Amino acid sequence: MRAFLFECKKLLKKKTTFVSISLSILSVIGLYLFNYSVVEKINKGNIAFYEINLERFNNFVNDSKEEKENAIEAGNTAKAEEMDLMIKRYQESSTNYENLKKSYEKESWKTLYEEDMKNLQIFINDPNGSSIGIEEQLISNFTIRATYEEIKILKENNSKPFIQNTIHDNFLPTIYDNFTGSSLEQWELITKRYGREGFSFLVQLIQMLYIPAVVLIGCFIFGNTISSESTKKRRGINFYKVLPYSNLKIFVAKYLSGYVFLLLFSLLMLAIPLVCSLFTNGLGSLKNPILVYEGSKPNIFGNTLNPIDDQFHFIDYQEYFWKILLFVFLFSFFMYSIYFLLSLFIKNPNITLILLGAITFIGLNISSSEFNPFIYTDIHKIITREIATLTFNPGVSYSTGLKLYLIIGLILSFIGYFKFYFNKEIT
Amino acid sequence: MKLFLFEMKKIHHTRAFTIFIFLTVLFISGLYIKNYIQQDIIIANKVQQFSEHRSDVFGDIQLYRKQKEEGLLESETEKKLAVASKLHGEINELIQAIQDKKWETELLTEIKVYQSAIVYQEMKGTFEKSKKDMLDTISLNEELLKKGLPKEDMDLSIQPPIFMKKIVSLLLNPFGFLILLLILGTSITREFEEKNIQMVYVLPVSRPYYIMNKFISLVVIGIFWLFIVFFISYLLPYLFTETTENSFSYPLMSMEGNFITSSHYLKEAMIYSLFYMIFSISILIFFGFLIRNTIVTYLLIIFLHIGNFIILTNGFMYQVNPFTYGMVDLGVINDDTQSFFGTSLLFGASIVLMIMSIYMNKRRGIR
Repeated sequence: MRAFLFECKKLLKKKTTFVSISLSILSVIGLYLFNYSVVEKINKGNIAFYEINLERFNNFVNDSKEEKENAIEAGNTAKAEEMDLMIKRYQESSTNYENLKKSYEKESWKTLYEEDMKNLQIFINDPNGSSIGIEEQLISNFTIRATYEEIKILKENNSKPFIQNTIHDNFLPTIYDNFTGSSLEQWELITKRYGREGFSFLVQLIQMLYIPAVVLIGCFIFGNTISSESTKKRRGINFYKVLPYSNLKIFVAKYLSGYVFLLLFSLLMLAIPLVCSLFTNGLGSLKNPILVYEGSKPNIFGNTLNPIDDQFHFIDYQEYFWKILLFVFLFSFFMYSIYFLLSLFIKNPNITLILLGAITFIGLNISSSEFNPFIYTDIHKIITREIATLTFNPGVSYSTGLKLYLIIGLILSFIGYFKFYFNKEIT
Repeated sequence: MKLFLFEMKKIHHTRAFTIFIFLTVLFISGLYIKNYIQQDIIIANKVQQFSEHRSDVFGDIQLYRKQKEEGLLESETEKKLAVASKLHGEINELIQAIQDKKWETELLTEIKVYQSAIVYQEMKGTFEKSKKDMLDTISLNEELLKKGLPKEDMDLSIQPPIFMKKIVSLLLNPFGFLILLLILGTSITREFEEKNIQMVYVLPVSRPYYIMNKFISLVVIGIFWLFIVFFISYLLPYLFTETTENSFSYPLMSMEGNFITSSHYLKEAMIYSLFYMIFSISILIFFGFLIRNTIVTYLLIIFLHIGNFIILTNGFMYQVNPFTYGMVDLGVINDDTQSFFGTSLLFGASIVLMIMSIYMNKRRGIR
């Protein structure tokens, strides 16, 4: 215990530790502020879009009135009646847009959710009849259903949605859409989601592989407890070898002190965006939904996704974040054990970081087997079962990932200990 | 000169750079082998894509024919049936040309298919491809026919210029340059941490001279890495692929829809990557000599690169931001970026950073 506390004290006394943590905090704050400015920009853009539509319909009303007057002068009563109907329709649309704009500005989301649900209802009722598309490429029925259910849950909880570059039907992007070319570009533009509140922003970050990045940086800062003291120029480890401490005690103290700091650093980096949000739009609701795929049943055509019959459900942010928390514990343990082992061989933090980053990147892309621990790095896709659905492999699950991290982490830690134990000569 | 050679020798002795060069060659070779093996997939993907279009059109034809049999066919629908039948025939021709590997026929037939498809879409027929994409493809095919070149798959091609373009997009980006800096930067920060710099500063060599030598040696190493990237990505297809004559005239579409030749693209890519590499190294020298700590220097450089990558991928490309040119592929195909302005900006920024590094270290002690 004393050795462990001593190692912790050493880490805390280093100026590097404080400067690194401060830099990391500033970077995350910078990232939050950038996201906030983007959200504000999109918000203004959406309001401007409402105003453009409002002006457009007002112009239609004026043009139709003019045409009606001309028709009356010409004695064309049929045309005048037609124009009358058009004027009524345009005025209704104009009033509708006016109400929607006011609701958007006041953030009374219930009105907007009801409007979106009304627009999507026709496609829900008749999935084989009609659909909505982006430049001739249709949005899948699965996406429409998932979007509808998501809006329903948001309306029930009276929660704020993510902000998107559109005022019509904030679609939830799913894996069931296969857009190409300019349709894909447009789809990605309108479905890119930005979190307004703390929890939503955190979900957005987690989807961008924020946790692996934070853990890698944490390993870089805290993972050199033995390697930094066993180089050719710095032989501080020799001092420990002459103390009445067993090798196991030294190893455990150094290993655990680095891991504890890594864990605290990772949790701090997850908390910073939430703290920043307290000064802007608030934390938000923990009842917001996250889509979880239920997979596709095998059919006569082999493994294909069925956008009409495949099902899904939603979990709330609270359940999602509990899973993320447990994942952070075990993922950081796994990555730290790899980094620690590599650092015992390489002793250069830059190279160790590059190697670990390269191994993670290759591992993430090389195989989608459930026994590949790196496939669980993108934890959002594991919790939502996106990878399991796309690869038709139900074995790729959250619990499998955690078990793999624990077992492999322990094995690598033991290997690291044996490397340290048998490294009698420090040169 | 001796100091410069000594710096080069030091970097070489760290072995990290040698391993990095080896891994770069391995990566490029691995990608080439993967593309070589997957050449048949290109044909399979094209056939699958047009087969899906064909079945959509055939579905419509069956519907119109059923309406005709029941006597429900209107004149509009009859016109649609005629266009759909013509389109169906042209798609069949196209699929045959793809399978027979007759590239000229393929290009000509594809133009016909998309022209008919645009007409069919205007009649509210089913053809799931955007009009903009079809028009772009027609322009590209016309350009290729003018130059006498077959169409290449931008991801799986093994023709030298297209393969080189793929390597540029994969390696010459903020992450690629970041890895290069992480490898090279140890030669600066470690000297301060291990106190070797004390010995250097007592030598009869001025500090500005020492810093400039450090900078030039790192730039030379960086240029060597860039040379390896471009050379290997050219050599492998040149040796093992049946290269098309005039392949370096292959037209590439810019963001605004204009065409640039692949030779022009590669020239600009080399220029941007060279100057961006010089700029990155000047940042490394600046922070390395300022902070003198490995972990903090690298964290700063990592955050700078990742932060700029996030800004760029969110569509905020500013010509006055030197980090914009770190995405070499995007910088070249973006019509708004001018290579003269970009390279001048990068070079100017590098000079400013070097002057600041020299000035800050002129009288600063070593602790």
